[in-house]
Amino acid sequence: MKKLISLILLLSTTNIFADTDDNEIIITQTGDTLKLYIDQEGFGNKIGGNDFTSSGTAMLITGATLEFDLDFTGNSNILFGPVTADNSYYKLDFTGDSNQIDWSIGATGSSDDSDINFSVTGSSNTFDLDQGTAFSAERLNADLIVIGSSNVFDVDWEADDVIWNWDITGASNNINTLQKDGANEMTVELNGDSADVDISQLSGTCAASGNGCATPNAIITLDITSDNSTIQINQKDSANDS
Amino acid sequence: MITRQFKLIRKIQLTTVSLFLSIGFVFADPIGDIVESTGVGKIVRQNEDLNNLNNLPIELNDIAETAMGSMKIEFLDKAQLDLKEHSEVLIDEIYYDPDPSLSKMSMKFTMGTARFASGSLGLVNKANIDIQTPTATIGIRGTDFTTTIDELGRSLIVLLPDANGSPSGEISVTNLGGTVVLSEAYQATMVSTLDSAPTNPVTINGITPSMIDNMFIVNPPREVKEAIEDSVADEQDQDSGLLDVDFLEFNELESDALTDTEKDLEFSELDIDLLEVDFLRDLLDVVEALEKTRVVLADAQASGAGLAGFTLKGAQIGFNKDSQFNVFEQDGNLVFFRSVNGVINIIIGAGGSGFIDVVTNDYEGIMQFNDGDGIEIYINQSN
Repeated sequence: MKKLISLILLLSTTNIFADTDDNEIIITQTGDTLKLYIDQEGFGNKIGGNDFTSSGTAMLITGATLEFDLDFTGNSNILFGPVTADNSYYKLDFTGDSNQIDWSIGATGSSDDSDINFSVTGSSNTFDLDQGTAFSAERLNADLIVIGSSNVFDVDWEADDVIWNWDITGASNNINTLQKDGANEMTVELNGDSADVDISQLSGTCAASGNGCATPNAIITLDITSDNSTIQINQKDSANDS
Repeated sequence: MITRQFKLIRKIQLTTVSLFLSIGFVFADPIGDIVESTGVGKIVRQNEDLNNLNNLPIELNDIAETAMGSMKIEFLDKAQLDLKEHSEVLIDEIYYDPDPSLSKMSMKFTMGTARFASGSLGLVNKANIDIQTPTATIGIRGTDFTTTIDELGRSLIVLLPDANGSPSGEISVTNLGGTVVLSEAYQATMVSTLDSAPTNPVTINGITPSMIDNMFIVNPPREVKEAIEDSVADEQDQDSGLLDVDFLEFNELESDALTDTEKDLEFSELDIDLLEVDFLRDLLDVVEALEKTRVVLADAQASGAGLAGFTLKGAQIGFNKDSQFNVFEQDGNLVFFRSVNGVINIIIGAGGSGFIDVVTNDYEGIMQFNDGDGIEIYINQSN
């Protein structure tokens, strides 16, 4: 049965001290073909599980063929949660500063055939994204566009057949990303000074010989316009970063 | 649709007749189209380069070339020719007659990896399809196969399966040394020279058509390596004069007679030759223990020519045999491209300054661009 949840929250931007007035969207959902659209405007809003008393617990969404469209406008918003679904589309737009996102895709089951699109306009945002840490995650297409400074990204794709594109414009961004498992391709466009970028791409390369792997399938492309930036690339044909 | 096809065929017949009547007449009727293309490639037609490949009609005597790209050509009889990166095929002689026994298709595969599937319309008898490589002629009694050819003309031919996984028929591979027939899916033979016999057919396990590319001849699958070794051993036993030949050593790639000339030419993305990479360092355990060297910047070449204002230390324009990076200017940017097992492609924006510190299995060094301050890039690429 097709389910549709559409939530629209509009908050007054004059509510600066939102500690007690934060909007909290609590989601626990199971089932296929979910379409979730959330437009959230304001300060200090939270989307997650059933408890925000501390740092917020994770929402849990499971199913297949999900369409996840979140649009945050404002500062200091929080998004937590594992989402587990195959054949799913994710679109997250953040406009504002000091937002905090901690998202695990496929934490409780397979998350094959994902299309993930993040767009961030703002500064000092913190992103912690991962997929496929415990279950199958094949054929991921992930795009990240950032315009802003001093953002911190920790993105781990432990999935096969991944296309991972990021486009960063702004200074002092700190990016740490991991691609692990076979057939990984990453394209980075970095415009901004004083960036700190760490890239690990593991197990995507051919072994030394004789295993039938004939085509390099670990590809990293960096397009850099920057000054005072440090970029570390670790590309190995092994599962361990050592 | 069929009517249209035969109208085109009639036009080509007339054109063919005209050729014999008028010396110097230039074929202009298309015999197919480029139906897919990615990356960099071109059609060379009458010494002119055609770079806009989107739906470009193909004519006789066209040379299809790819660099960092791929190309698919579909002929009028629905025969398909796929070229992978760094490949070259001459469309030599193709004409269609309403009587398939009078039709003809001839192509020369000269470099890289190409896949040919004969046409579903049956307009050309398979006996009249002639595919040549520098060291062998392939006779078609099947439908789908690949060839991979290196700079020395050595050819690896693989028969592919049909949609059901069964052999797509048979192909014969012939040269002055003899003939072998491939009749099983993924059965392969290697031909090293025009007068050395093709290796005995071997079946390669665990591959798919998409895995077959230029690496297949640089680093052959285990089954093919064993067939080559057996072939060499047989020839040695027969005292055939090839005792000193070691097909796995592949030292020919280390010498480049054109090196001096190339220094005077502008190096671009089109000039990157993936076969030039010395994969043997990584792929074959035949090289003695390599002493890792750290390039001393003061000893490295400095170059600013053709680099849009960039200066380099620890690298030079073109292919760097030590680090195996290709370095070139593109759109005002400085590009460092390395494809050994994994691919790293670094594009430095105009005016950028910094260094790339590289550690691989067999190389350690620093490549500096401009004054070396600004961007710090550390690469650790290894198995």
